[in-house]
Amino acid sequence: MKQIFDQFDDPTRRSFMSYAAKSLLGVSMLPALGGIVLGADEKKVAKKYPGGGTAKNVIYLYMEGAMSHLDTFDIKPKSQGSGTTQAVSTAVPGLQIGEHFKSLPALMKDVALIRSMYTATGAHRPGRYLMRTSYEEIASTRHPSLGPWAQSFFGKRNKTLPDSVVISGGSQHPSAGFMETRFSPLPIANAVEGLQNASSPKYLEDRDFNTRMNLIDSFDASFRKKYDHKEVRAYTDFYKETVALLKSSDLETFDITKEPEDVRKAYGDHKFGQGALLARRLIQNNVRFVEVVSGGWDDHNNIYDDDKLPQRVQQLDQTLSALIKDLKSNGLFDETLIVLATEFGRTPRISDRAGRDHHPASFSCALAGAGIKGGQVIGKTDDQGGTVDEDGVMPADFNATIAHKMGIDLAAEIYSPSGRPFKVAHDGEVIEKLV
Amino acid sequence: MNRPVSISFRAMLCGVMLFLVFGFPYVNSVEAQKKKPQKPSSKLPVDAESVKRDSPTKVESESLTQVRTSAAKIDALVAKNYKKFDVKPNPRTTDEQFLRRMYLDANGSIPNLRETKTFLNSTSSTKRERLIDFLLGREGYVAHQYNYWADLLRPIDREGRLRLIPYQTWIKQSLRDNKPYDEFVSELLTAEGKVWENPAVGYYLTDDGMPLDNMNNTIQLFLGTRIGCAQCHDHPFDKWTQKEFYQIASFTGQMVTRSTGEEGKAFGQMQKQFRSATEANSDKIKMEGAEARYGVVQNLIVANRYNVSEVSWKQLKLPKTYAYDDAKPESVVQPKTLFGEVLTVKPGEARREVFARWVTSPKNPRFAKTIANRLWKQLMGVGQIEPVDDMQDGSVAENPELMAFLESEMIRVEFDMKEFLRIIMNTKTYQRQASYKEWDPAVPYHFPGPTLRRMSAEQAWDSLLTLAIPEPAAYSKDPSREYEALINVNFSKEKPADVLKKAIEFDRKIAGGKARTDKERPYSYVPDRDTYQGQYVRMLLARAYELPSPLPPGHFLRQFGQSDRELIGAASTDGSIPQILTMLNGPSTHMMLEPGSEIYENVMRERSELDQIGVIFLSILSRQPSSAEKQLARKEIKRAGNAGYGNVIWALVNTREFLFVQ
Repeated sequence: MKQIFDQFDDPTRRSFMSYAAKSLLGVSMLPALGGIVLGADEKKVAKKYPGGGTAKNVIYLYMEGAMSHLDTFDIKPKSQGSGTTQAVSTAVPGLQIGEHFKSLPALMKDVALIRSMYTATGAHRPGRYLMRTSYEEIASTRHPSLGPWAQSFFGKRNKTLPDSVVISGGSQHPSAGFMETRFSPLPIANAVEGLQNASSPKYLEDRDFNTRMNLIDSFDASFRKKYDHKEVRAYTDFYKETVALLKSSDLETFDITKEPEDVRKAYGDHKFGQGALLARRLIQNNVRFVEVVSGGWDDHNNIYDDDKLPQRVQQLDQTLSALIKDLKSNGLFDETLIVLATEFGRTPRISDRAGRDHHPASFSCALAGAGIKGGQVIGKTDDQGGTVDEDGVMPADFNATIAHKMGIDLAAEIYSPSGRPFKVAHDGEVIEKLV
Repeated sequence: MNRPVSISFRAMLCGVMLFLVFGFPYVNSVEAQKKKPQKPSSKLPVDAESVKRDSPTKVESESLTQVRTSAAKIDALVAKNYKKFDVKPNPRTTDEQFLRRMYLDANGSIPNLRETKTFLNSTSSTKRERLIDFLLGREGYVAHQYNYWADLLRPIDREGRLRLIPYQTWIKQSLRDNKPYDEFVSELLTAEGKVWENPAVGYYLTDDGMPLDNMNNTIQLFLGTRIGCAQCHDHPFDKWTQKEFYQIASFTGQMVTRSTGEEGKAFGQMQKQFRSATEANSDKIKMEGAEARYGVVQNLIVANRYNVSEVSWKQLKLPKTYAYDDAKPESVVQPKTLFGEVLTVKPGEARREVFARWVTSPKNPRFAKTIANRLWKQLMGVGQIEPVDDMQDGSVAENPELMAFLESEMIRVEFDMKEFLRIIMNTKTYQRQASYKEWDPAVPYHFPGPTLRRMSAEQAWDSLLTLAIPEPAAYSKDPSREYEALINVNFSKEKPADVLKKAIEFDRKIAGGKARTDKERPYSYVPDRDTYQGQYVRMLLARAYELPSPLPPGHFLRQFGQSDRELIGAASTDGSIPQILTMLNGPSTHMMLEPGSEIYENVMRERSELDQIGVIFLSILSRQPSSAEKQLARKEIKRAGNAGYGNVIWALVNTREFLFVQ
């Protein structure tokens, strides 16, 4: 960071800093920011935080496209840009959230909101990348997401199932980044379909299947020797993993039709709901980190049309509520961290297209389970919901909190193949009030 | 999980025909052979007329001398860096390696058996040059380049209620005509009208409602520069200020994407009429015997309102939160070019015309450079400047002299992308073997040859098709023509009842509901975005560029990393377990074990076992088997009988050698 800023001549740097302080980050953030911008040379001593290591599993719900904080968890009914969403009271005295949540208000004692998220970019791709990796996207390397980080620390928990899974993710997930491909999350395109092509053609007996696998190996040997590349080796690993999985009884985990009808219904008859249900099945079978993506939050136009924001919030409400209840009834809530994340917020005014545009200066995220102190709100935005007034939280801080709950050492460095050191949450700091 | 496969595949995989001669060890193979071969291609939907396309523009034979000279110059410049950095170049490709890579890079798929034999048997000393020229003149060039541009331009079938199908067709036709790149970009940036009148408006409609992001995309795509950060504040890592961002964005600041004026009013009135004609409680409209939900009419009306134009009353203003001293928040911003030549908008000029002139000018310091660098990377695997879309003033090319030459060549050939690719394809550098050592992005790459690459999703799909069906290009449709006829409504002239009938027709054929069969809706292969259920399994055996966009996440192409079309350059070549499952168990590999498949028929045509094995290797890997491989294949055929052929085919398709481009 220091070098980057040193490239600028002074006025540029100053104008960036003063602007950042004034309107992007909120004045109260200056001390933390100062540490970065001024490039304090002293090595930070790893801070010890309480409450770590209680999240055996993580279900990470990602609202892709940028969820409007102003219509969900940070309602500003009296502001100019409030839109049409009304606030409703919750089981936590004084805490209000958006009216499209019907079941969640009763469960808010279990949920901790962070209303003071802010991020460095208002573009989707860098925003998603930063949220999932704590690092800015650069050309010379690719950073790993949290699931692979955890696997690199703790090893794989289930012999045949992967340690992390991404359900309904787009084509640009940072995945295992620079780590070996065996750390990659398994992508599931559609939870209802589960793992496709998981059974061999009926005519093929085990013996023949093995013959075929051996043939691949033999025919491919000289090529693999000539091109001993990471990418080539990765495919060889994937073949091995796939064969192990095919022979395992764990395969059934991916089949949500094995769940009772009423459970499936409770989660919601939509991709996202069924994805969350699959996530629960997976963590029950020792998959550590499952991300479920809910797409389509990029409401630049007609945000309040029935099939836009209101519908997605209703789906989120149904699914998140069902998940909390289900985890509780299965005794998994205390060991499972539920994360609700998105890349940035949306503008505190309704545009002339009846939508909201990108807004990196403030947004909301949430955490629940695994000993997170629910029923509280971290941070505060101004009257319009446009800037962070108190306790700003950057994606790295948010990820530090998740990693800490998982028991990952925040100070530990892992080296990329090119020899550069990286930390699980970059320089993020744990939100202490939550843990 | 046990979802039905497509009708055609159900027919193929169930029933008697399932008893694969190659793959099924317990069926009487003679019996199966007697059956009339059923070619998968015959199961293509035949409900719409195939379109006869123009032939793609051919390269000019007269310019070959110049191509050779330019290629030699590139090689000389590359060799300078070999010397400087003590790099040992890779050996020249064998004919087999060259053929396969050439087909994948120019045609987008592996060669078929006949093509492979023809090339390998040829003794002509200029056969490489001739192959390059031949392939650049084929439809495969259009298909392959379309896949590349689709990853960048994200031409989806749909934006809101509007389908951008004509835009997809337009991009393909531009490539087919080999439209000079500067014209291509200029047409995108200045397009006006409705998508069926001027399909290039699809460029702006793709980012509809996000004019600032669109500008950000434009600068990234065509000028290789990222100014996005400056949208909200001065760029922290580059030099751009927020004011500069707004000044450049002001060039598109007077653009609107919906009909205005009289036409806009006519839409409004029509909408009102229908609203008042809607029956209370039932949401239905009935007129002259026709009946439809209000939403059905609404779909047609809204889709007709998309209309790109420039208006003088619209102004771009700085944001309310603008925090710098050089301008007031919410003040109007006038257009100003970002770097290089300073162009100003004169009275009577359309802003976007001036903007396009600035972007595409040979004098723009980053326009020719960006496209030259992109195409170099397309063939060599690594750009001269990396990343190709994040140049900064301090960016240094691996070989600045070479970069400058490539840029000057791009200008010399007047932005003829095909000619430019032809030059690189003719270099010794390109025709070397892929590097044995993997490329580390953190270390400069001095081009001892191209890098080893996994096939793109589209290359893998189109290659499997080449093994499965005789004419992968046979499926050629142009839904955009039908689309125009169905959607275009003149709201100030047509009677409401006629509009209603049209809306019903539009809904049935294009936009419509779920219960309809494919036959009724030949062009509505856009899957239902919310459920995708029961939709995609029609594994349409057409080349990737003919398929809907974006495809549902479970489709072969998406599994192998085709972009979801949300973000620029989102395609990926990473592996995953679902990919392997598809290769092991999915219909896309098993279709070639069927009687009637291209490879099946070609193998059966041979008499001797050795020739049959040769055909298998030539078809899949474009090379003859080694003697060890021959032995292994014979052993397997001896062990398993006819099923052994199937096992060999299946195994070869599952090798890394198949999936990677050497």
